[in-house]
Amino acid sequence: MIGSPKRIGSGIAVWLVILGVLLYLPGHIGRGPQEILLNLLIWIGLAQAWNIIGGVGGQLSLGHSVFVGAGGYTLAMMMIKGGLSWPLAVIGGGLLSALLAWFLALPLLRLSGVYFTIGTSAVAIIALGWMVTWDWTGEARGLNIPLDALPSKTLKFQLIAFLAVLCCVVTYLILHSSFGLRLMAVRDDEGAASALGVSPRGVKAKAFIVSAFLTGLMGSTIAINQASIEPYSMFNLRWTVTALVMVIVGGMGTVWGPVIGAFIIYYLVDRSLQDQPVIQALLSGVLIILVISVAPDGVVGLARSAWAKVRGMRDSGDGDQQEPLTPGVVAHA
Amino acid sequence: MNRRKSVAAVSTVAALAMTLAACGSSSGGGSSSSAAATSASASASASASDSGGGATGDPIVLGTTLPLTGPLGVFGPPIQAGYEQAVAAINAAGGVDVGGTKRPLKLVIKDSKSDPTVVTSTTKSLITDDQAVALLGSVTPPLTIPFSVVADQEQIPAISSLTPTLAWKGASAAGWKYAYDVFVDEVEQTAVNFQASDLVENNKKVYLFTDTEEDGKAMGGLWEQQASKYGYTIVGRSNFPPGTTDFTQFVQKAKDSGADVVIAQIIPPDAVALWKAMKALKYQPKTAWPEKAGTVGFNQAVGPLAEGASVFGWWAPKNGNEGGQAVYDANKAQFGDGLGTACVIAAYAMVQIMADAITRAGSTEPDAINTALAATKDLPTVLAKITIGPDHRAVTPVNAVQWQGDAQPIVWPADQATAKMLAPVPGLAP
Repeated sequence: MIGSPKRIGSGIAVWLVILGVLLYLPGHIGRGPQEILLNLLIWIGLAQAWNIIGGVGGQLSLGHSVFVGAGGYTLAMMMIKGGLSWPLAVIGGGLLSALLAWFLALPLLRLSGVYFTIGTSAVAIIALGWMVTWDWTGEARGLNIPLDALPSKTLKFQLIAFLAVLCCVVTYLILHSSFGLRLMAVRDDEGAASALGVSPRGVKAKAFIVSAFLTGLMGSTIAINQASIEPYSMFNLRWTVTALVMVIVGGMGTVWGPVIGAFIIYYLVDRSLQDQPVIQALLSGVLIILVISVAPDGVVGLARSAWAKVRGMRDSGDGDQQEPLTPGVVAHA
Repeated sequence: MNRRKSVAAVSTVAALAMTLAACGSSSGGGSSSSAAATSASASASASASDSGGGATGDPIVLGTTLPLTGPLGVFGPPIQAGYEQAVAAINAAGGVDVGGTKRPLKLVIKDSKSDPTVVTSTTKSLITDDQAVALLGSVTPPLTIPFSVVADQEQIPAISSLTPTLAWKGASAAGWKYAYDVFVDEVEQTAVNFQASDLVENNKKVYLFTDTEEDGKAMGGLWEQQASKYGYTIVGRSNFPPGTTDFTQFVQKAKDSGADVVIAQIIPPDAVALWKAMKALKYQPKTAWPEKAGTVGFNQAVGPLAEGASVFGWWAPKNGNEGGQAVYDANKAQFGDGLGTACVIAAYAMVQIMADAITRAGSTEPDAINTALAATKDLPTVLAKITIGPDHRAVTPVNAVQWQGDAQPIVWPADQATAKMLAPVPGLAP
């Protein structure tokens, strides 16, 4: 671990307090706010899972919809065809996604940069094409999970809250681990990291698998939440593109970036403007372009810069150096 | 620096993708616009309150999520019109009698963008944000099934039409608890293609084009089962996922099989591609059925190629309905002389059924409405006389219509026919 145990412990404690509050909420807030919060938590989990490979690892995967779909379909198949309970099926969804990522990592991680992005998007398109014609999983008709086999509303909310917080804690631990340091080193300069004895492909593969596992877990909760799933929704590129946008807007490679990004994109843009679809889409596009050109480190980066100015520092680079495990450190150095 | 460039490039593509997706879905329906989606709620609410007609109690909120945009966007506006007109008519007559108090209806409409995931989220939003006590459905199994799942999950009564009832029923192994479907039965529906094709001389050979959605799967199987009963032979069947754009090889196989009858269970954009492929390959069957796709706006989508395309219908002036002709006449100019206006009628009837159930329940409690809804019997509506069965289906009569010019006259059965069937399909003439 990088950083003092006390600091890491207090960081985890913050997340445990957040989890405690979230677990307490069902029954104490209205149905509407609970539903909004539930969807927000799903997006936080997905964005955070993508952040591990895309933000911390710097590998811009467009193929994570495969793991959302794999998680959801594995859960549905295990419950419908296997008669298994939902807790086992949720774990199964995560494990199958991780296994899939392990297979996919072999060819995909031979690619880098834009080629990796194109390769992962091709995998997503192939997976969708396969699923709409695979009779065993219901082709385009999809699957309907028996409602009486699903957890209650309270339990469902608590499960999703737990998994969303788990995604955040895993990202936090990665950022404070030697593995995370190697991953960021590979992200910022693969050649230099390799010269220092880091195996770029091995490090990226581990991050890809962890990211896929968490995405699969979140995918299985999406299936639980919807009860009725079909491939066009579950394997839709929208999952990845939206998660990517959330991470970029919030701040890539940070723990709070995906949380803030999910809030901005899901709640402020998507939810609040749901009756204005064109304005909603245009605003999303404009927001991304603005963030990229004005605040490339996202809202978190902007906040750090502002904080650095308040403290009288000359530029945000000095501020970043005080946080050695934040993104861009090697690039800035 | 390279990473920054990559992030910027991918982000720009993502921004474009999101923007284009929205623009695409907004225009995908052809007859709908985002303005329709955004104004829907306001206009419906206005119609409810402006025409209160003496209604005194708090409004009863009915929620619906419609495909106002996206590939099924052609269905949204007529369904919306049916719901709004029925709500306005009921409110003009004083509202719904709930335990002796007249209460107006308030309709809240959200755009599902033809996306099942959005159907789920918007239906939940109707219940949690808008406090809908009952739900009104949209069209086709892919949208109606997730809608019905939410109704059962949230225990809010929901009624749909324009969704073949067997495919809908088959989606819930345990049986639907709060969801209902009022439409044709696929066994009767699939028989129509053969019975109506008998109107013209043909070689009794049939080629099927079925997509892999619920109704494509279910109805494809039924056509195969029923063909021999009516003296027909299925000489070939092509299955394909929705969104298929190149039908050349499938059409060539159909042409080579010599089939005089072509039946396709297919979404609107795919049917356009299929019809163009048949025209390009000079394949002119005696009868051709673009089921589902050929209902609304097919003539606008394929132009003169639509001439002679036949589809099953679900409303006729003499099918035992009450007041249907007045609704038909009022909407014919806007939605066409055919199934577009029949969509208005089907939607209108759903409001009538729900209002009747609320009155009989004497309460707006979802469980009370649900119990009353299940007990609906011989209710006269603008669609037909409605009786809901123990499986939560109400099966309505079926007929066959054919595109002739801009209208879809009924060509079968004989006692309801308003025009003679054209054959071979004129629009596909080489």
